[in-house]
Amino acid sequence: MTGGLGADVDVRRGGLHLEVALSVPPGETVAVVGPNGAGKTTLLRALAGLQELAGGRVILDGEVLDDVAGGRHVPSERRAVGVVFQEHLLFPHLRVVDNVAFGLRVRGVPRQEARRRAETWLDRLGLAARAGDRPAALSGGEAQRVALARALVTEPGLLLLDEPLSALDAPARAATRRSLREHLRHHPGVRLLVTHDPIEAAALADHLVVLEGGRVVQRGTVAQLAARPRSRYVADLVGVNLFAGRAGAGTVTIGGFVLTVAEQATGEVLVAVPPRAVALHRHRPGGSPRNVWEGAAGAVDRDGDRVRVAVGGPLPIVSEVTAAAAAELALEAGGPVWVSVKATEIAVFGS
Amino acid sequence: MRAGPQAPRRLAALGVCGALVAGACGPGAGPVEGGGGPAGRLVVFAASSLTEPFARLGREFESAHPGTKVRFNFAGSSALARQITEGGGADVFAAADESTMARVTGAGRARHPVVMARNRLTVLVERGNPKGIRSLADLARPGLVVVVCAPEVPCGRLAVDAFAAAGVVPRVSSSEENVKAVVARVALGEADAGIVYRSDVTAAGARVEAVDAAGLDADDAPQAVYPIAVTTTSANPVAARAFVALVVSARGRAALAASGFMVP
Amino acid sequence: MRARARPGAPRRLPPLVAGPAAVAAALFVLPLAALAARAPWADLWSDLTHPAARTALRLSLVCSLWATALAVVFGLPLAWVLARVPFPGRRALRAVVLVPLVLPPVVGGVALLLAFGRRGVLGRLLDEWFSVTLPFTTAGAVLAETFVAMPFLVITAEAAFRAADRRYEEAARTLGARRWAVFRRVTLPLTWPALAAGALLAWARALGEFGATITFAGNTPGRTTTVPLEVYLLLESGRLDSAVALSLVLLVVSVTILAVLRDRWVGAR
Repeated sequence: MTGGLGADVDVRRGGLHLEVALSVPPGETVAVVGPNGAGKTTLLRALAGLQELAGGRVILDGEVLDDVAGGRHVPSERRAVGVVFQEHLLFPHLRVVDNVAFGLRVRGVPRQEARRRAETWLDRLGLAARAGDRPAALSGGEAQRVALARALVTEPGLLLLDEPLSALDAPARAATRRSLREHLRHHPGVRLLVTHDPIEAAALADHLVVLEGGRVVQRGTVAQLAARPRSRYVADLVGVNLFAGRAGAGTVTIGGFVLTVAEQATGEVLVAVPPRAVALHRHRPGGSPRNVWEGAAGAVDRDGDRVRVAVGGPLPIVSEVTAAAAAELALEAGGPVWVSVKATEIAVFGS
Repeated sequence: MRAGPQAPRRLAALGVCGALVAGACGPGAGPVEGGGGPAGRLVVFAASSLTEPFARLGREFESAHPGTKVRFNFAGSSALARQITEGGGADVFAAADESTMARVTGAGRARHPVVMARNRLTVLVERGNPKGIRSLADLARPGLVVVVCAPEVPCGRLAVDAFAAAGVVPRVSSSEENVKAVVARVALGEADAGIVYRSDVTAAGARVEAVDAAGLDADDAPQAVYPIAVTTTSANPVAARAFVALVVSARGRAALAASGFMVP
Repeated sequence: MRARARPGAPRRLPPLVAGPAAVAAALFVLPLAALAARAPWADLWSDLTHPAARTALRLSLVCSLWATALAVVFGLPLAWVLARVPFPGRRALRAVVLVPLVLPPVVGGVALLLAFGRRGVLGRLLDEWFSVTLPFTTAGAVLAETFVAMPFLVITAEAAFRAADRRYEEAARTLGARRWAVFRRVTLPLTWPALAAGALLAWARALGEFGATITFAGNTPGRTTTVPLEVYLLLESGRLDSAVALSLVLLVVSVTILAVLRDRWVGAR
């Protein structure tokens, strides 16, 4: 492709061996998710030019930024890359407008012109009033937006965001998430963000790339990941019940417990049960569901008008029901509750 | 907090320093009772130009009077005078001019000074006299590095008088605080010429030589007068008086003359 | 009503602490107080405006400022290299840079003579090729002062460069700043308080330098007789009053510098 990011990197850092291949067309946002230590930040730093590659290539908009075999490495300061850091890293000795203008000033743009363009960006992000303040006077959300403006003012071909929302408290996070989504859409280049928060990823990105232990475990949209999570982490990420078991004739045995499933499979398999497919009852239900058992109600999580209930028992499972249904059930912690799952709602796939 | 691998080395260094300090304190000064004659420690403050003859006389004194230990402090007469007036610590004071001795006797720290020697000035140059210096007037040549004693010390005052008498305005690159420093500058090659005492020439060794400059050799040329006296704060007056007696004796005068001093 | 003690402060100072502390304080305060008390206040102005004193003061100021400037111009890059550039022998170089701090100044002067004197390793070449001699000149005095003062600047600056937060420098790089721009626009503004303190310290040291200066540059009024040398000579010739008056000037300067730096070192409110 002529534009966009093409990366095939091999990085060794400490005990981590990172091997990732990525390809992102311009105008798209990719979220790299993974647990701590998976190598997300290392990948981001490698793309930014701050981390040496042990092997591979990085190409951005047709320009080769890294080619280990060919001995080429474009240093960070010469890459058309903008970075928004987790701790925003606004220069404490400069005012907000000078922070934003920094990227232009070091490119030789005269001071007046640089300030003017910086102010335009601040205005776009709703921060015009803060232009003369010092970074220390800003709130977390404001600082993050200033950092975004600072990275965008140089019109980079690749915008990298390192956990952009994790340093914010919950209310700020929601608000900043919304505005970030807006502003990212206007950026014409490639956007790559790194996060451990699935909601952040889902809200801001078109595609997810899941990184575990330095390797890509799965890629796709949230829906694709949720449908067929390939690892415990991905399953937890998308909030799906994931089990490992042995498939036989129309059943899967999970540690002694037998689930009836609709898909045919044999051997070692992974079983995914979406929480919404787990129905809860006060008494033993009748009807078609083959998978019925009694459990004990555990932690209850309210999220808007949906309620997630963790149910202990022969197969610990998480169920999601409406708030109305939960109220009707009058669940008590530890109290008995009946669980039923339709065989047709269970996904079975090779591990 | 861990001491770390440096600790043993540091402790050893501290131990060495402690031993040095203890050693410097040493056995007490002062006369030792018992037997006739001088004994014990003797501290002599002497002008630096007296270094060679006095060191020799000190050894003679120690062998003539077993049980004595002579310690010298050679420095510029002014520095020594200041030390004596402020703190004492000397048994004998030998100055390079009478006005410095007067400062000490005037402060009541010494009595009955005796003139033990005189000294003439001379011009000191590197061996071979590479810059061809023949007279005091040559010291006014541009490009020459000339070093003299500072006017605050006797050697410097004499040099000022000598230049004035000769009507020469020399180009002085540095005014050193004691005459041995002047010798050192010439010997090291840092200076082309210096005004020093005649006695310093014999002491300075093979790297330098004297130039018999007119104006310094004549009988009426400025001379340094060296008085010697026992201090009033001496802790060992017996030995002090014996040392002074040695200096003015025939043996003392011979040692001084051998070093280039003029003796009465 | 009894005054309320600040939380965290001891209610009563234990004698085991107060005693030695008082002795230590006295050790510092008494000599300086005695100097101030003994000062010839009546004649102070005439003593200080005496031509020799004025010359020495002017010379001290000029030489110490030059020495500080040289220390900054050459010391900062050295500090940078020591802090950021790993190379074989870096530790040895760092140790060598600290030597003037522990070397007796006179020994330093002798070493300078052996290197830059007329017959010195480098001085000989300077004399033969450029007819430049450093001993007995003001430049020589500046060199001696730079020799003893630069280590202060290098140590402080190296520590500052080490401690500087590299993340800001990385952020600047991602924004397109080349190395010099990173240094000028980010590192320097963030470290300049420490650098200024180091320069101030170096200046104070240069101002008070005596041993190396007299050994290397000798003593010539107007050329190399700085205030410490002048005080020494005045003392030698028994002019105590003038010596005290000049000493008082250096004392005032030192106290002012310390007052300015105190907050940096002690961090007191």
